[in-house]
Amino acid sequence: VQEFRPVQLLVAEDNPEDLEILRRALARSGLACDLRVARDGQEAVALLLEDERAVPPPDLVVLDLNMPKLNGLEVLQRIRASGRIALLPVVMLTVSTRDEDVMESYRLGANTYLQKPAEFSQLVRLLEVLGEYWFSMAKRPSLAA
Amino acid sequence: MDAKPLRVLVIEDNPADARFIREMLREHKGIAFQVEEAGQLSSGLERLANAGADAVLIDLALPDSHGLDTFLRAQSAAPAVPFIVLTGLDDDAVATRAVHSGAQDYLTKGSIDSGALARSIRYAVERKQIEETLRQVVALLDRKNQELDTFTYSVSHDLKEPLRTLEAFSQFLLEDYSDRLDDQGRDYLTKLARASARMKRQIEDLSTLSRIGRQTEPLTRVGMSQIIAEIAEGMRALVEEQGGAIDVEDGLPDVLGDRLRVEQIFANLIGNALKFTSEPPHVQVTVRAVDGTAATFAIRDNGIGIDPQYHGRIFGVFQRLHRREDYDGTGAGLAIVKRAAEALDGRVWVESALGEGATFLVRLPLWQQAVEQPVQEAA
Repeated sequence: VQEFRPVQLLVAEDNPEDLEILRRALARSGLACDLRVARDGQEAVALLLEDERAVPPPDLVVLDLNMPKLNGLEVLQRIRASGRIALLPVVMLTVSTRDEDVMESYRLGANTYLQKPAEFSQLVRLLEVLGEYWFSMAKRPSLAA
Repeated sequence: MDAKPLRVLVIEDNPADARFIREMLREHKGIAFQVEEAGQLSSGLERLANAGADAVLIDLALPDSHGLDTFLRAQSAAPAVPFIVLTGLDDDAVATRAVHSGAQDYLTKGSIDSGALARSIRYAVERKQIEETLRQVVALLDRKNQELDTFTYSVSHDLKEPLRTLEAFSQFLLEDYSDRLDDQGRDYLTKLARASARMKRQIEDLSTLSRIGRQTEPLTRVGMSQIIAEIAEGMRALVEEQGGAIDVEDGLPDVLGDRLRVEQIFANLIGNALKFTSEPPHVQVTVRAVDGTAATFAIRDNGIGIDPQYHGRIFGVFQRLHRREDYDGTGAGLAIVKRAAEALDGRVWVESALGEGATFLVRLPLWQQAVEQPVQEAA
């Protein structure tokens, strides 16, 4: 039963058009998920860390890199420095191809770094793969417990 | 000449020679010299580091250093100071090499007179100043060019974002609403999609173009036979589909460069050779000439050819000689080729006439064991 529960997904994305594209790609990918949205880094931190008691943490966090107030790297840093959700899987999803951004993301503890594909169909495929990855991780005894 | 004396440092271990030079400079009527002396390279360089000098006269045979190395060490310690090399009667060869390496002049001890010595120093100072100005201007231009490339790169990167949105929503419109549009509406949408796809290719070419100009990769040996074989293999389907062939000369010489750029050059040129033709393409890749330091490769095709009046223009960015319906493409390919070749200290040109095919020639530095550099210095 556990593994068919929809993925609780938190996406931090400040660009409304990008968000709409992502929603559509999620729907197209068939990835069963409950989507929560933070419209900038600060909102993501508020949702993840300040409402910690009220709202259970998501299964997976997807962070845009460039966001106003707090950027994706700063949000990542706060997640990793937190107590309860320090081990939350975090995916960076960004247009940046800069080596520095990739390396800094991994250095701060991102689980994976994905470049936003240029084509919508590629984005759909990426989310499918992400879903497969997520479910294969969830089936592992250590995580399923 | 201004009244301030020229400060000359003489690095010379023979006291008699040093005294001789000092006296000659003192005797000189036109220019005032202030002479300082050092008997060893180490003490000379120390003095140079502490107090500087307008010019240095340096003997190559010193107690702590010998030969050309003396000059090279001194020059790298004080690259902005003009050096004049002092040599014995039988040292012409070494002295000439010193001048090749950046010494302003050389004087043979025993055949110097006061006027010639003073003139040599004065000219050395003047020349060095001009060199220095030139060097600064070149460095500035280089920096500006790099900035421009970085700017182009980030602009083209930023432009991709709204374009992606544009593309995605045109696609959504087509997916969700095409049954509610008439033929003309759908046609407009198709045109919109095609235009944004073209813009995307142009932006990608621009960012390639800017990246290719910023040579930061280390220069290494690039195996030409292998790289051409790989490119030909990658294009095999295209060639077979057209019933054509790519012939590659055996044993192409290896060049000094980096893989990415060499690949860009030849993939673009061979791709063009296959594209601009109305009959089955026949492409030949050969080496036309090899001299001491460089090789010239030829990519010859049997295509439509290029009118000589356009030979200069085709290497410009987004320059096209044909209607898009006839031959597709952004028109950035040859600009990329040109920049890649120049980034490798090479060049590219064309020999062609309308209807007679085209031969593109690429000259690149030859790989030689001794020339291999670990890292190219980024200016």
